[in-house]
Parts: sequence; structure tokens; C-alpha cells
Amino acid sequence: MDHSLWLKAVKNLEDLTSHVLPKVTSSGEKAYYELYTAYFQKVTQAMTEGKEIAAHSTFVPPEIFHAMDMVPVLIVSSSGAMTVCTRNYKDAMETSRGYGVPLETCSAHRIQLGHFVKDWFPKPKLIVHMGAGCDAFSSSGGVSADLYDCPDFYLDVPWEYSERGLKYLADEFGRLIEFVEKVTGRKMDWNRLKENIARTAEMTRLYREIAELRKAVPSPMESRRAWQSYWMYWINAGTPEGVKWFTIVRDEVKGRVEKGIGAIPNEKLRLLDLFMPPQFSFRLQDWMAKDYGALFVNESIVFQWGEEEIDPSNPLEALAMRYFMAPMTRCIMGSSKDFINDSIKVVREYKIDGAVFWAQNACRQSGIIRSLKDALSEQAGIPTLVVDCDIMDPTFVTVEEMQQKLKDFIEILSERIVRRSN
Amino acid sequence: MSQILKTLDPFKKINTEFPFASPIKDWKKSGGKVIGFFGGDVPEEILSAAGVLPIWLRGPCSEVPLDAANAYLHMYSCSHMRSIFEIALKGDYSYLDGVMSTPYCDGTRRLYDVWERYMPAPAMLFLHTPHKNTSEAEAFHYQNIEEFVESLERVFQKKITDEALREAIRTYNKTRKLFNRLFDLRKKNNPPVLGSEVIEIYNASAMMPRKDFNILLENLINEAKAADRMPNNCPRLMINGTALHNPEYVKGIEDLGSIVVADSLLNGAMSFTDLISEDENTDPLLAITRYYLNKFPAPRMVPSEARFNRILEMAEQFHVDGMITGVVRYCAPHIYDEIRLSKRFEARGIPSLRLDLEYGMAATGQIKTRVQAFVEMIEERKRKG
Repeated sequence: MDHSLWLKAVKNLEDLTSHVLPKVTSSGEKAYYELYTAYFQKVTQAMTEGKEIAAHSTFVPPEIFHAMDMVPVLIVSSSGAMTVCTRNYKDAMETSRGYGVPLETCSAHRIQLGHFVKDWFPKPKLIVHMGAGCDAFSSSGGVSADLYDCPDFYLDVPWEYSERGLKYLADEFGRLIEFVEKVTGRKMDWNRLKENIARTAEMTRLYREIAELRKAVPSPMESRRAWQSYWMYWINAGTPEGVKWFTIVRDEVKGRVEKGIGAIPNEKLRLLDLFMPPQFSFRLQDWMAKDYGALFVNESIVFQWGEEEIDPSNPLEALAMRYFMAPMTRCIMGSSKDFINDSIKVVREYKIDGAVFWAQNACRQSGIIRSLKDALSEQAGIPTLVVDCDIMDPTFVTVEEMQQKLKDFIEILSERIVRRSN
Repeated sequence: MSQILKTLDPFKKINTEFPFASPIKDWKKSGGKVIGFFGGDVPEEILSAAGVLPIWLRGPCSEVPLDAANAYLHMYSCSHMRSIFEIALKGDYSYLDGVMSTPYCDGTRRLYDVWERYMPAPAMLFLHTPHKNTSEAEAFHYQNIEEFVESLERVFQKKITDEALREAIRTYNKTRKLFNRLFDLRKKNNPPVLGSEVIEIYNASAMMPRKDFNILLENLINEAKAADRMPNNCPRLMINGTALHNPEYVKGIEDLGSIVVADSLLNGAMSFTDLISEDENTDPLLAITRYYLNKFPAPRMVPSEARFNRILEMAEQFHVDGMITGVVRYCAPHIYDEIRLSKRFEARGIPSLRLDLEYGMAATGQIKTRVQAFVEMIEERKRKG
């Protein structure tokens, strides 16, 4: 194993956090740097102390691993974070290309496999992947398991929510626990799992409360905070840190709403974010807010929860219910109708002026763009901008190109608002 | 090649009539309903038992401009799916009484979405299929299939009886048994059928009633058995990858001095090798459920090792010297599958070649050059023993 890159990345993240924290005024931003760094520090500690690590794809419940005293680490997002922290995009992507992963698949997974080819990723005791998200999600975990010669488990996910699907998925979580018990010799601590899920239910309640608060005009939350919340939810699900994050963000947002102040001083445009923006930097969103008063006030893909509640007393069913109700999973699995209807509802409830779809290179979810764009235009009366970009590769499209497109769109939206007010 | 297979002509004729071939026209003329589907796990037997003609939708056997489809599906939806929709948008699939899919991959899911939104057929049907073949998955899928049967009965106002299901199973199994006889001929030292010809046969199977198809296939096998066509000792190849319909692609590979003796294509061996149980004591819906979860695994199924072992076994049975995988751009399931499968082939000393394609491409230009080098490398290996 070559841990040097991981250790360097965590060190860079720690340095960045110490550099940024004294300047940060938002309690949410401060908490993000602290908790995000702490997540990777925990994994580093596990590596040095020889604790057993469970590597898992997004949407696999980390609550299970915490309850079995393992240290969970997200595969694709942690590899991505390590690359962002060390800026080794080229090395990671060329490595995966050399291994046979072509450019016609998502760069997040190409980077992930680069990390596994080079042995940069912490050696896990097991890998758990899931048929959620997209084909690359469900397929790349197997390649990682091959590369590390590591036992893996695939969680099968029903196509869409139903009573039958809920039971099937709950049973799948049960089989995952059996697998972990068999591979590690550990036993599930069911009381601890229930406690973890109770925290998850609280995190979910706070997440929903924040979503409600964001309907306020002006919007009380920064664009970047939404994506931070999405990641914090999945890396810290079921933990005190997760509850802490959502409490801090809720308090900050609620305080602003009560005082009638917005996240930015001069909000002019309220935007809907329809898909994952480039994850290597959120400066684009900061620039839109600062220079044009254009703020993403909702992200239907990560900020619209389904209505059903999570009941911790039945832990496996609770985890299955969370899967079906959580944003992202309910948008990109199942029929696109839910995603479209959610987005239309958001436009109305959040008083949205325009939407942006980030068309990520090689992402086959882009098959939904036309339907979303037409539905938002016909049923909600707003235009949608499609920005071609790459989720993790900063060289695919330059920031300047994206800025130019966004600038033109902002001008069009501003003119529409002027016309409407006349 | 010393002899031409005359019995191949009816298949070729039907294929030239794509996408509204005469057997489909005849079916419609007699008042029959037609459902077009995409995704490799649609239980055609159930559609057939409902009195419906299932048609496996595809694009043209050539690379064509996708201007109309591109307006609805982003280029990251593979050109296979966009080619199907291109034909639909031109109105050439307007004869369909229904469209059906499964969540086979992101491409089929999103194609179904746009089809349903922009040009819904009178019946739009969707069936979930699990990715596993555990007993729990079987119970889950059985219920999915039961529900699907009920919806089909509602749409077509027809009861699907056990007897009709058993009859459909027998008919579709007959196709599979015949294909297994054809595959056996391909295991011989001098296979009497070319890989490109087998693609013609696969294509026709998707566009006509199975009973009629079975007659044609039986005729072809009888002729092929008696034929003495192939001289040779040329490299024996297996083809793999995204569903493939252009015989010219395979012909291009064979024209370079090889013969394609086997495939693990979704529209080929993956669908035509295994049989559904015909046991009279087994509930036919349960037999269908088990078949679709346990048949020759597609890349979407886990554990993947079952698929890899199956393909490696085939390579051994068919005396394969090399494998060529054609991956249509952005076909994520096959991209990742090929990475893992090729490493297992190489571990057995069987070389493999991946070709990044657009749907409908023939083996021309760069592809030809790469295949030629691959074939020469295999010949060299064979010479050296």
C-alpha cells in the first residue's frame, strides 16, 4: 500500500482548514471545514491503528458499520476529495486510463479507480457497493474489489418505492449485515444501530426543516451549503457529528430568516440547481452570488425529501425507507416523473426565476435534460440553462467558458424580471 | 468459402425490410397486437401468451445521423438507445401497440422516460428486474411478474392462462434448442456458419413470430450440417460487448482472415442458450421468473464472477483464440465489464481487444487496422504454438 498520497491530502486539508477558519464568519462554513476534516482524520487514525475499514459507495448506510465498530469510508467521494486536496487529477485519471477505463465514463469513477490502481486508497476489510445512482456506481465497485482482492457485497436496490420494494431492500440490508459478520467475525450491536438510526432520523428532520426555511425571500442559505449538507449527510449519517452539522446549519439559517436577512446582501435572482455541479470547486456559485446576486435557493436533486418518516424502532426498514425518501436516490432511480414533479413544485414554492442543469461529461442521467427543461418551461414558466462540464476534471471545460454561459443566462433572466415588473 | 447457405436468404430478406418487416405487417393485418421492447430481460413468453407479438427494438444496421433523437436524448445516452428513438421519431415504429422496457441500464431507463413523455404508445409497460438471483430476489421478482401479467391482461383485455404460458415457453425454448444446435456446429474445426451470418439470424429472430422463425432456423441448421464450407485453420474469435446488430461489422472482422465462432452478446448467446423449465408441475410464471434471474448473466447481474466464468467456459468449448469486445461509447455496464473480463481472458492466455464504437458501425478505418493487427498477432501465436 502507498498511503503517502492519502496522508498528504489529509495534511493539506488540515492546513487549509487552519488557514480558512480564522477568516470564516458563517458558523455553517466553519463547521463544514471542521467536520469534513475530522472525517478523513478518523480514517487516517483507523489506518495507523489497524482498525477495520469498510469502504462503501454513496447511499450504502454507514450506520451499519458504525454499529459494528468499523470505520466507514466513502469510496468515490473520498478518492475525489483526496485528488482535490492534492490536485493530482492528471495522475489519477491517466492511471485509470492506463488500466483500461476509457474517457467515456464519469471522471469521479475514473479518479476512484486511479486511486485503487495505485494503492492510494486505504485498504479496507471489505467493499460494499450498490445499484443506486447510475451504472458506473454499480459497476465500478466490482473493479475496485478486484484491484484490492477484497471481499465485496452488492446491495440490490428496487427500481422504485413500493411496499414490496421496501421489504426487499430491508432484507438486503439484513444480508449485508450477515456478510459483514461473516467477513469480520464481528456481531451487529442492534441497540447501537437503533441509536444511530435515531440520529439519522433527527438529521433528516433537520434537513427537511432547513429545506422549509430556504423558501424565505431573501434566501437564508449559501448555494455551497446545500452540497456540503448533502455530503455531510452521507459521510456522517447516524453520528453525533451529523446531528451537530445539521443543527448548526439549521440554527444559522433560522436566525437569518427570523431577522429577515439573506445569505447574500443583494439577492436578485433565485435559481434552481437541477444536477450535480462540478465538485472540485464551488467558486463558480460564489462568483454568481457575489457578482450578480444570483443564488441557488434549492437543488431539487439533493434538497427534496419524500414525505414518509423514518422509524428507528425497525432499523432495517428505517434504512430502506430512508433510501427511498432521500433526495438524489429518489430523483435518479425510478421514473423521471418524480424528479420532474419535484422540480416543478420547487419552482413554485421557492419562487424560482430560472434553472441550471449541469450536464456532466459521460453522465447518462443527462437523458433527463430535455424532459426537465420542457416541463419547467411549460408547467412552471421558467427557462433552463444547460452547462456542459465535468464533475471532477477541471480541464474538460474552463471556468471561464462556464462563467460566460452563466453570465448570458443571468442577463436573460434579469431582462425577464424587468419585463415582468413592467 | 466454397458454398453459400441458401436457407439464409429468408432471414436476410426480413432484415432488409426493417423496421416494419413483412411478418410484422402480416401479423398486424390479421388484427394482432405488437409490443416493441428494449432491455434484455423482458419476458417475451408472457407477451406471447397474451397473444401479442414481441419485437426487440433496435436501430438500423449502419451508423446513421441521429439529429432527431439528439434533440431528446443527450449524446451521453448511448447511440444504441438514440438510434432506436431516431427510428421512432421518424414514425417508423408507429405500428407499435405498446412499448416496454426494464431498468436494464441507465440508457433503457431514460429512453423509456422520453418515449413515454413525447410519443407514448397506446400501452407503456415497465418491469423491474433485480440484479441478483437469490431466493429473496426470486420471490420479489415473481411478484413483479405477477403484477406485470395483471397489467397486461388489463391492457389487452385477455386472460393469460397457464396453458398459454406453457405453450409460449415451449415455442421460445424451441428457438433456444435450435440455437444450441447451431452453436454446436460452430464448435467444429470448420464451422459451417460465419459469425456475420449468425448476426443476420439473430436480427430476424427479433422481427417475426417465433413459430415461423423456428421453421426457418431448422431449415438453416439442416443445410449447414451438410455443408462443407470452411477450409481452414484461421483464428477463432469470440465477440462480446454491447448489443450488436450490424452483420457488416462482423463480416469486416472475418474478412481479415478470422472466423467468429462464438459470442456473449445480449441479442445473441446470452438470450438463446439457456432453457426455461418445462416441468408440468412447476408454475410457469415461476419458471419464467427463475429463467430471467438465472440465465446467462448480463453485465448488470451480480455476482459478476458467474458471468465471467460462463464466458470463459464458452471460450474453452468453442476453442476461442481471441476475444473482441465492441463497446458502444458511454455504455458504462460494458465498459466496466470489459475491464474485468479481459483481465480474466489474459490470465488464461487468450488475448482480447476492445473497440470503442458507435452503434451501427461497420469494421472500417481504424477498427479494421486494429483488428488486422490483432488477428496477425493471434496467427503469430498459433504458429509459435
